[in-house]
Formats: sequence, structure tokens, C-alpha cells
Amino acid sequence: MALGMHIKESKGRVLVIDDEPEVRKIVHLALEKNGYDVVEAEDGEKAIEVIRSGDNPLLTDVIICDVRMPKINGVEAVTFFREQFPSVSIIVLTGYPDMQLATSFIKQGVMEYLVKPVEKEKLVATVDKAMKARGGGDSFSA
Amino acid sequence: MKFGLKGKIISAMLAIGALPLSLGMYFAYQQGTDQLETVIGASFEAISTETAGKIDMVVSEEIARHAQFVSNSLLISLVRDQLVTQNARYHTLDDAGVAHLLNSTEQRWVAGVGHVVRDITSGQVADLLRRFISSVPAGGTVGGGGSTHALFITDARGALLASINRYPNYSNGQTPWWQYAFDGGRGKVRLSDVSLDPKLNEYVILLQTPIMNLADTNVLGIVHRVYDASHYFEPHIYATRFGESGHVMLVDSEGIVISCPILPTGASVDDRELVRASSVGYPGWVKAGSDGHGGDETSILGFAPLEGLNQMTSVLGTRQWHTMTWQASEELFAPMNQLLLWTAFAGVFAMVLMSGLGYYAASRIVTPIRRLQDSALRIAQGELHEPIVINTGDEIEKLANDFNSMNDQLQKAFSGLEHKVEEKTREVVHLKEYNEKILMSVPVLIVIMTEDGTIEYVNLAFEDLVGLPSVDAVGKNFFDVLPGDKEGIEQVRGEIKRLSCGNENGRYAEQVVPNHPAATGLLMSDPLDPSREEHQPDRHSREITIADKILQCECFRVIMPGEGTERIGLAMRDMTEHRHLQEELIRAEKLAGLGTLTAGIAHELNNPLYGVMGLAEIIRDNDDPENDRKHAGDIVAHSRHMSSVIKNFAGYVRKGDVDELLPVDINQKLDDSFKMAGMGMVSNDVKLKRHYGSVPPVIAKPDEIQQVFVNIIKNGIQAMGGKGILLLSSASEDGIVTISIHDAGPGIPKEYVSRLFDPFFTTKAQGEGTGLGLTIVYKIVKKYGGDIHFDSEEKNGTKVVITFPVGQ
Repeated sequence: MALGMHIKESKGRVLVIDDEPEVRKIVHLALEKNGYDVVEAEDGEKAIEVIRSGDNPLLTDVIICDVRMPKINGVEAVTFFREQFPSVSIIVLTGYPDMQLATSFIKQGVMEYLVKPVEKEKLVATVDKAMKARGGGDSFSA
Repeated sequence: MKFGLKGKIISAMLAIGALPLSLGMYFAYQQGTDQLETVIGASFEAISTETAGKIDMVVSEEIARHAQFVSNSLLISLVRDQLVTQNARYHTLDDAGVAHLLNSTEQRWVAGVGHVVRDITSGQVADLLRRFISSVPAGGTVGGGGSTHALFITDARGALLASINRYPNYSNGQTPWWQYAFDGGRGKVRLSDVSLDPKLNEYVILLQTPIMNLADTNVLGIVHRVYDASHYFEPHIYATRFGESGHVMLVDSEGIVISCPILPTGASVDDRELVRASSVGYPGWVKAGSDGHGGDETSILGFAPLEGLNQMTSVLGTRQWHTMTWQASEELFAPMNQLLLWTAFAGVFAMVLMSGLGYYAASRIVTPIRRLQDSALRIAQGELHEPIVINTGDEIEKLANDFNSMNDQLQKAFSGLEHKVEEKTREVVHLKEYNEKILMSVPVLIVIMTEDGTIEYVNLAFEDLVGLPSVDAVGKNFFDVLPGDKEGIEQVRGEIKRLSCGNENGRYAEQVVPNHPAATGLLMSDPLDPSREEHQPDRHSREITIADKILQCECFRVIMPGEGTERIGLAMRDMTEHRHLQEELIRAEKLAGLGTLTAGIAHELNNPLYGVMGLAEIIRDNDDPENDRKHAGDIVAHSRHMSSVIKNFAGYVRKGDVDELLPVDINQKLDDSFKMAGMGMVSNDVKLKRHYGSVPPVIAKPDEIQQVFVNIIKNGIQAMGGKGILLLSSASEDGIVTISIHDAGPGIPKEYVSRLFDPFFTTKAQGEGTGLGLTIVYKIVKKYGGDIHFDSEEKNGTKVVITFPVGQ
């Protein structure tokens, strides 16, 4: 069953973009345990592929992405996502605490700027918030 | 000077006067002398003539008296009687017998037989004779008493008849004088020449007067009288004296003195010329070379012949008598000498007078000239303001007037000139001040010195630096005056030496950077602008430190106008603030770099930290229990990773800035820089290739070298997108170290290459980097005397080549 197979009462779909596998693993685990559906991408390019590909019937609700990434860096990605998928909430998760960058991200419409290391609880809470902002648990595409 | 003209005039006058004066005086003297001589000669002649006449008369009278005596009838009759008697005696005898009788009578006469003597000397005739002599008054014109040596009568045979004394010989018939007087019976009066009588040893004159019979046909006898020559004439000769030595003498034509008050009778006048001249038979006078008295002084002698006498005595060929008048030369020429003296005196007086007059005249002439000279001097000095007044009424006055007009002209010219000079001076002063102001205001320190370092000019800025006013600085040696460290001064000295030695081929700061098109004005340019390092052939700049100030020092040559000599100029700009600013910017860049680094570190650490935290949470929450051990192991690995990052970071950042210049190991630095560059990067898919050579250390601040390398490597990695081969190589040759960083990126477009070092030039997005990275890299490289350039081909990536001189 295509449409409903993967729906197992997930709160939503989260796309994690980070070039560190460890980071992806931890986020994945943390969010999954909390009822989210997590998809991983290792850089911006891959991320766009993931979103666009018809692989996934469910479209992304939230994107968690790093800033310093090769090929297309976080800033460009964010801009891209905000343009292309304005309804998708974006959370920036980065190792570098740059207030200026944070401010500019917020201006662009990024939901939250998180600095690693981030505690599991905080992470989950932020994603919850992002989901709500998106418009509840409704996982219709934008 | 004073003496000059006056002296000349006086001398001229003297010369002009002296010559005619001398000539005149000489002629006067000559003439005078001649006249005097003539006068003297004439008077001497007159005296001679008179005396001659007198003597002539005396003698004539004497002869006349004798003639009268012999015509006395008594005498005649007595003499006749005796003769008759004698004749009676002789009549009986023959010649031989007569001769014998005469002889014996002579013997008896000589012997002094009484009756013979008595007969002769005491007879009647003798008495008559005696009476005749004494009848003459003693002081008359006849010879004085005693002047008659003998008076006797001889008979017709020459035998002594009567005598007043025993002088005569008895028989005189053979004597020439008797024979002359007897004259063969006719009888002649005879006056003899002067002769020396052997019996008397005196000079005598004989007068013979024949006694004639009444019929005057026969000589009865001769009256003989023997006069003493000198005594007879004495009264007349000796009476005629004049002056001290003037006298007359009686001489004969052989020069025998008959009577002279000075010379003895019979002496000979030894000047034959004189004798001849004076025996000419008529009166005259001569100037002779001798004085006839044994002296050889020039004398004047007058003479006159005894005419009457000479007629009488000439028949026998006897000598002529004449008088000579003579005066001693001193006395004679005394008037002439006196004339000479007076003439000379007059001459000297005249000269003195001329000198005096000349002096006066000269003064009169010279004084106005001197006034003129004075005035001329004052005109030349510009001091004469009133006109010169000279009223000599001649050319000098005219000259004075000309001087006056010349002076007026000069005054006018001067004042015009003075005015112009004032103007010009003001201009010059103004210009000078203007220039001074400029030089003083220029914030650049300017020193002009000679090639050996002697300061000629310094401006205000320099004065402030060294704390010496320019008057004190000028003349001193530049190196003595510089404050601060020896090193700085030695650098300057080296620089100046290099400059004055012409082209340098050293490696210092002389590697030419091509003219940057972006050259801007000196003061307003950005201190980081590399284009300020413009290079001009005659100017060489270096940075030196003097007294804690960093000065950019440029030497330049100044060719002095008109002298052809050179000066060395030094322009120094206080770059202290500049450099500090520069260093601040570099530090800021570094800090910015650090900022980036911090970001990198933060990132570098936060990621594994998140791993640690996340894994720990998983373990804590038992989310994935089967993998707990694995997770724990991962935690350990992450922790290790973090630790090494921190270590690296600690190695990079030292406490504060290191300001020391240290020997930097290039190869090591390249490695460290690579690590550093990677740290800030996100992905490190870069393959590092190294071609390191044996490279001597470069003396520099290690941080700055690292900054350079990190910057370039980072750029390279970024250009490659974090993927590809990065080639780092190093080599050393001829004292130059060459480092190259070659990336496999897309290369740099040609139009960007020249702008690479421009500040804020960047191809990165906004917010990415400061844009100052390469600018600072360039600064640092240049600071250490190195060079940097880009080899960029679009297919071959970019190769950055950096060179450093070693030992720097």
C-alpha cells in the first residue's frame, strides 16, 4: 500500500541535512523515538533530490540543516528552501555560534537557530514547535 | 701720494732751474776768472814795465855819471900824467921787457908790496875814485852803499892804474871785457851780464867806462866798476812789493836771477817755457804752469824788458834783462777762489730759494688736486653730497665741475638702484620665506647633506625629531645628530652609501615592483595600498627605526645648480602611526582569521561534542540498548578527536603576539598552515602533495609567515571546493627561498589577477572573509623583502609563488 504504508502515526516528516553521519544518526534516533519520520541527506544537493524525488510520498515538514556544508552551503540551501518550499519549516543546527548569521536566518524565516551540542529534549521541542507552525500534524504538502 | 705730485713739481722746477743756473754760474765763473786774469796780467805787466823803466833809468843814470866822471879834466890830466910816466918807463923796454915788467909789478901787487899798492890805492887818482863814490847820496837812485865791490882804472894797456881796493888784477889787458871796452882804442861803454865772480863768490855786474883824451880819439884808460848784482838793484826791486807775496824780480834771458827778494841772485828760473816767454823783448804777461819760483802752481807773471839796458848789452851777444812780476798763486787766485765760493753759495741759495718757491707753487697746484681726489673717493663710497668747489680758474676747476655733474648722475643712479635693490630684496625675502614655510610645513622630514654627511639643511619636521634647531644641526655630521639606536643609523648609513655608490645590486628592497597603475597621492592613500610602493629609478626607500619612530626613508640626489656638485637628500616620513595601524589591521585580520578559526574550532569541537552528548543521551534513555557499547566507544572516539583539535588550536594560538623575528622553518610552517587552513574548512577532501627542498630558515615573525601560508592554502582549498590535489613545494637557490602552493581549482581569470591584492577585492560572497586576506599577505611578504606572484592558467589551477631572501 503506497500511500498509507509509511504512515504510522508519525508526527511529521523531518529532513536532516548534515555532512556528519554521527550527527544525522543522533538526530534521527532522537526524533524517531519521539514519533517523527526522519529522512537524511548529507548535503544540500542530496537534500533537494530527496525533496523532489517522488520516492517519498510524504513531503517534508521540517528541515534541519547545518550551515557549513560543501557544494551548496547552508545559507544558500536555506534561501533555496524558503523560496521553493515556503511552507516547510527550517531549523538550522550548526556547530558555530554566529549571532549575526542567526539573525539573518531568522529574518529569512528560519524557525530556530540551534547550536550544537543540543540536548535531545530541546531538539524535540523545537521540532514540535516547527510542526505546529507549519499547521498542526497535517502533513499535506505545500 | 702727497709727496708724489708735489715732489715731482719741485723736482721738475729744480731740474729746470738748476741746469740754466749751473750753466750760467759756470759761465759767469769762467768769464770772471778770465777777466780777473787779464786784469792781473795787465797790472803785472805794468808793474814789470814800470820797474824795468826805473831800473833802466837808474842804470842809465849810473852810466851817465860815469861818463861825466871820465870827462873830468883833473882825472884826465892825472891819468895822462901817469901814462906819460909809465910810457917813459916802457919806452926803454921791448915787448918782452914790458911783459916782464908788468909781470913783476903784478907779483908785487899780488904780494902786497907796499909802494906798489900805495901807488895804486893811494894815489891821487884813487882819491878821485873815492871821492866819486862817496859823492853819490846813499838813498838815491843808485845802488846802495856796499853795492860796489870795486872801482878801478886800467891804463891803455890794461894795467891797473888806480883802485880803491885790492880787488882787481893788475893786468887785465887780455880779458875780453877789457878788450871790449877798449875797443881797439876807440873806447866803449860796457855793462856786463851777471856773472859769478870767483874772487868774491858773488854775482857781479861790471860797468866799464873808457877815459877818452880831450880830442876824444884815444882811450887813455878805462874806469871799471864792479857792482854786486843783487845789492845794487835791491832798493828798486825790493821796494816794489804788493800784497803778501807779490814782488818784481830781475832776470836775464837765460833765466838767471839778477835780483829777487825771494830767489838768490844767480839762481835759475827752471821753467824754460816761462823764461822764453818772458824774454820776448816786449812787455806782456803769461799764465804759466809754474810760478817761476820752484812751485808748479799755475801763476800769472807779468814781464817787461829793460829796453835801454838791453840795447847796451846786446852788442856782445850778452843776455837781455827783464823784470818779472809775480805773486803767490794762493794770493793771486784768491779773488778767483772767492768768486767761485760766492758763486757756489749764490747757487745753493738760489736752489734753496727755488725749492721753497717750488714747494709753494707745488702746494698751490697740488692742493686742489688732492681735494678732487678726496672728493672722488667719497663719491666712490657714495658719501659725497655737496658739490666740490675749486676756484683755481684753470683746468682743475673744470675738472671739479665735471666731477660734480658725475656725482649728481651717480647719486641719481644710486637712488634708483637702491630702490630696485630694495624691491628685489623684498621679493627674494618673500620667496625665501614662502619656500621656508612650505618646507617647514611639509610633514616629511627633509635633510640635505653633502656626500660625506655634513648637514646643509634641515626642515622643521627634522628639527622636531632630533630636538636640534636647524642652526645647530647645520654643519654637523648627519650620523652624529641622529638619535636612537645604532642599528637604525647603520641602516641609513648603508642606504646612503648605496645611493652614493650608484646602482646597487643588492637584494635589499631593490627588487623592482612594476609601477602600479593605482598610484595615488602620498598623504591621502590607504596605508595598505600596495601601489604606494612605487619604484622610481633615483629614489630608494627603506624603513628604519630611529628613536622609537618608524621612518620610511628615501634617498635622492640633488644636483646643485651652477655648481655641478651633488648633494644627498633624505626624505623621511614618520610611518609610526601608519605602521601601527597596519599592524593593527594585520592583527585585526589575524583576529578576523582567528574569528574564522574560532568558528572553525567551535564547529570542530561542537560537532564531536554533539556526538558525545547525543550518544550519551541514547545510552541514558536506553533508546538503543543493543548498541550501547558501540555508542560508548564512539563517545570515547569523539572525545579523543576533540582533544586533538584543542591541542592543535592551543599550538596555534600563543599568549599574546610574538613580536620577535625568529628563524622560521618553512617546510614545517607549510605543514602547520595546511592543518590550520583545514580547520576552518568544512570538508577536507584535499589531497596534500609535498615537494620540499632543503630550505634555510627565514628570519621573520612566525605568525605572519603562517598567516601568509594559511591564507593562500585556504584560498586554494576553497577554489578547489575542498576536493583535489594541493601541491606544496619549497626550494632554495642563491640565497632566495621559493615556496609554491598549487591548487587544482579553476584558476583566476586574467582580469582579476592584477586586482588580487587590492583591498576588499574578493570573489567570495558578502560576509565571506574580510577581503583583506591577500592584501595582508602581500604586505607581509613585502615586509620581509620577499615577493609574490600568481601563475594562473584556467585549466591548470592556480600556482602561488612566494620568494623570500634568506638571512632576512
